[in-house]
Amino acid sequence: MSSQSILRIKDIYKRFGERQALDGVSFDVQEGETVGILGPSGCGKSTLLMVVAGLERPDQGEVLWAGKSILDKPPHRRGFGLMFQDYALFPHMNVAENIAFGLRMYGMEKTEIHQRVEASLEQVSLTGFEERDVNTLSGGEQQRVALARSLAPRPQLLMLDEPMGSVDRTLRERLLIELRTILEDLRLTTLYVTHDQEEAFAISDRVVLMQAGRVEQYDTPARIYHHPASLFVARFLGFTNLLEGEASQDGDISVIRTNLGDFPVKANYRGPVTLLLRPDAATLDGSGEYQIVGNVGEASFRGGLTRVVIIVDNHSLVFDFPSSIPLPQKGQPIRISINPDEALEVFEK
Amino acid sequence: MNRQVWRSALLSRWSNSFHLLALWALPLLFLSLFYFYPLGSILRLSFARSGTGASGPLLEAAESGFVQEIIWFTFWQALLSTLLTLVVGLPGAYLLARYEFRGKSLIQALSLIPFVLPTVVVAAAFYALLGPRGWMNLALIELFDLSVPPIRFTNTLAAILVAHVFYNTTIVLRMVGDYWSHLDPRLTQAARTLGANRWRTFRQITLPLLAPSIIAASLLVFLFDFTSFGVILILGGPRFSTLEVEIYYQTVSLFNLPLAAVLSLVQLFFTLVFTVFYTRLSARLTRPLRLRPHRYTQQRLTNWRSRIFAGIMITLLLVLLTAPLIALAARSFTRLEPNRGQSSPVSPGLTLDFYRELAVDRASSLFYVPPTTAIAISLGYALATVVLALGIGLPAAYALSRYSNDPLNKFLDPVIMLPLGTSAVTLGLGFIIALSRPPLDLRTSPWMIPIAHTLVAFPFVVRSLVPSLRSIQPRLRQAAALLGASPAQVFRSIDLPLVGRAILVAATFAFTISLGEFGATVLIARPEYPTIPVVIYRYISQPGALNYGQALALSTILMVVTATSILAIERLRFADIGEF
Repeated sequence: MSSQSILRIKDIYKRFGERQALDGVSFDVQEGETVGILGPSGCGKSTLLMVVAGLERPDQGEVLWAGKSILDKPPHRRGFGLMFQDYALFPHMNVAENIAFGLRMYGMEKTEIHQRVEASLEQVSLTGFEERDVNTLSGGEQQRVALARSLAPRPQLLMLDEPMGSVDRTLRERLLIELRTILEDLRLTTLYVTHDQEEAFAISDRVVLMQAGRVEQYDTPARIYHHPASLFVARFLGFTNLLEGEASQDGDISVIRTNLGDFPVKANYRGPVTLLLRPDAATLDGSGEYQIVGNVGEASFRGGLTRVVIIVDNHSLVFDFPSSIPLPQKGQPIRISINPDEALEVFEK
Repeated sequence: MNRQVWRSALLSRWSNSFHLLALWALPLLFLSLFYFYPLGSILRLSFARSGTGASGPLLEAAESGFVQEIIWFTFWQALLSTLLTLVVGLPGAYLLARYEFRGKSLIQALSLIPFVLPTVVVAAAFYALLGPRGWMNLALIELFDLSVPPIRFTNTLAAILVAHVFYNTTIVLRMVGDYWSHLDPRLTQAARTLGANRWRTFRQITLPLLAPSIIAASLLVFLFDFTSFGVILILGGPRFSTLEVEIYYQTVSLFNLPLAAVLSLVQLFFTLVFTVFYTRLSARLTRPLRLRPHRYTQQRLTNWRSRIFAGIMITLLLVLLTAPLIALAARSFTRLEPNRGQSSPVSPGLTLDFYRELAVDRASSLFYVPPTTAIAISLGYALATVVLALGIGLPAAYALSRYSNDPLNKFLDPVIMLPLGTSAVTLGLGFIIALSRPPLDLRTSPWMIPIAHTLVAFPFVVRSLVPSLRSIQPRLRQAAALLGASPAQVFRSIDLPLVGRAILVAATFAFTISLGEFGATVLIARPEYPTIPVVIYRYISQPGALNYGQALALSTILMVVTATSILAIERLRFADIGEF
């Protein structure tokens, strides 16, 4: 698998004064793949893009493209495209001049530049915008121009830094789908930096989840969601049903002892752990082997599902049920069943 | 009902206009009497027919090769000075705009000092460093046992250029550096990822985006160099004559007022052309930019390339900004050569003699006054200038800030800036022509000099008052009015306390400008009432170690006072509205 990797990032360290922005980051990207780089702000994801683009030099580590180190290549010879947060459109050039800039730098013929600009504008559905002043464009239009500008020189690698950052929510959905289509059509290797997990999951083949300059998890969106590798990842994904417990081994399985009872898991754990109860893995029938009894703290209809907050011994746990169930009343007693194989994730301390 | 509404609307409009006119009355009267009337007199004299020739002095001058030569020299020394200033200032601006390093605030503070330093002080400082009796020459004479000073600096073109660079680098550092520091670094990074190397990125992205600020700074520097007086008169010596210096010579030495008037007119014409050129160009080049706060645009010195660059630039700026001033102060406390008439060799060492001599009345010339008297005279003039400048500056600034949309204000706003573009010598000449005979004879009035200084200070005073007056929310005034305060009471109880700091800044500006003003003063000051700069000029132009030492001592005092003032102004300035 790694033999097909076109981009390899190996043990990158980068420090800015007191702050360790990148603290040993490594991962591989395959040709044609879209990799999302996800994490809270300040986790080092934008710095990583700067390093790959050649705009920052790492203190340590290696960046390989097609098996060769590119650290000594200046940014203008790497042939990578970078679309900046807030777009960084050149304010003294119109739309066509912005898009043509990269083509001019590569010494392309005038007529060819013209054709390429037209094609790029068509690609982002902005035909006819050539002469427009970039300062008068709307946020969505600016974003498309920025995308067209970074795509026009046909980069080997496209990097997008929070591309949806300044676009409002409704427009974002549509632009994401369009972007995904364009990237798939071009079969372009892409790094997509965002702090928004929905965005990362929707567009990426694989996601690098970063925290404090380190990679927490690198996997497909589905596997990250179903098997968060750490408590940080679980929290970052928005899981809140976390219980402190003590694990003890019992043959092939471990038993986790918590305030809310004992739960078995098919793995070897020992000592203090944190237990995650998935919100979507409980049923309302009282027939299962592992049951939780409590009172309804809050219940709300959310369209496709009904979300219920259950209060058990001062813990509040959140569970989602199909919205076909009758809406529980606040304060009413409630009993749910969980299947330990599906519902539980264990994080050792 | 309808009629009542109409009446009250008309009434309030009328009362507003009346209020506005009342505010403008005093400033406009002052400007008319002491700015427009003298300028008008210069104009009249230039076009007047002389007794002998058929054409007026203007046409005579236009045909004279002598005048053409002066215009030519004025122009190219200014151009050369501006280019040199850019050569030093642009890399300096880049350093201050893009990098974070220890000692940066020191350089920024130091760079402010030349801005208010009187020209005579700068001239004296370069004398102390590079003049025939300056540190460098004395050191070289001592070292190699020479008989004549090896460095010829004073009375050369180089002296003029270096002093201009010393003066104006600040403008480039401030205007371009400020703009540059807010420029989004992602724009150049984007160009880099699109395949542009460093040089092409600079040429195609950075330079076009900086163009408005570079052009604005260059034109301002050019204007200052074009109308530079003290530097060329004192450091350039008699060999070099610009329009400004020639106006002075024609007035003071040759009493040829018509020719002086013509030269003033020529100079006014050129400054006007440059100003119009500047306004048009900067309007065309300005781009809407998304300006970024400093913390997004600045980085530390991380790699060796940036460290070497910063090391060179910091050294250059520090030497340029401090070497002359340190040389001046140090030389004023050091005895290195015997006094005139004193034959025995002296032992070099520290001395307070030059300062002690300031209080001694030694010379026997008719119009001689001891330097301490000049200090007292200067302080008196400066205080009078503060009073006058605030007296006309406050109502003008108040009118500008309260009725910002009134057409009258839109017209008057640039008008009150006009004295800024008029050279000091021209102002002085105007006073000599217009105000020394009826109907307005101020020849013997002690107010003549404070009035001239007020004209020079007026634009600065208004400009430092308006932003903080504008920042007072109208609601505060309305609330006070609803609580029963009359307009005068509102001003006293709301505006005045809130703009206290700005008033202090304006007063300090007026005080400092008055203390250092040379161009107008040297023309109109009566010999028995000289100011500090005039006395310094007299000492520098006279031979003798004692005269030289006293010039340096007086200059040092003036330098300390003005440098302290500008640093105080910077501290007090209204926390940079509009700045990040």
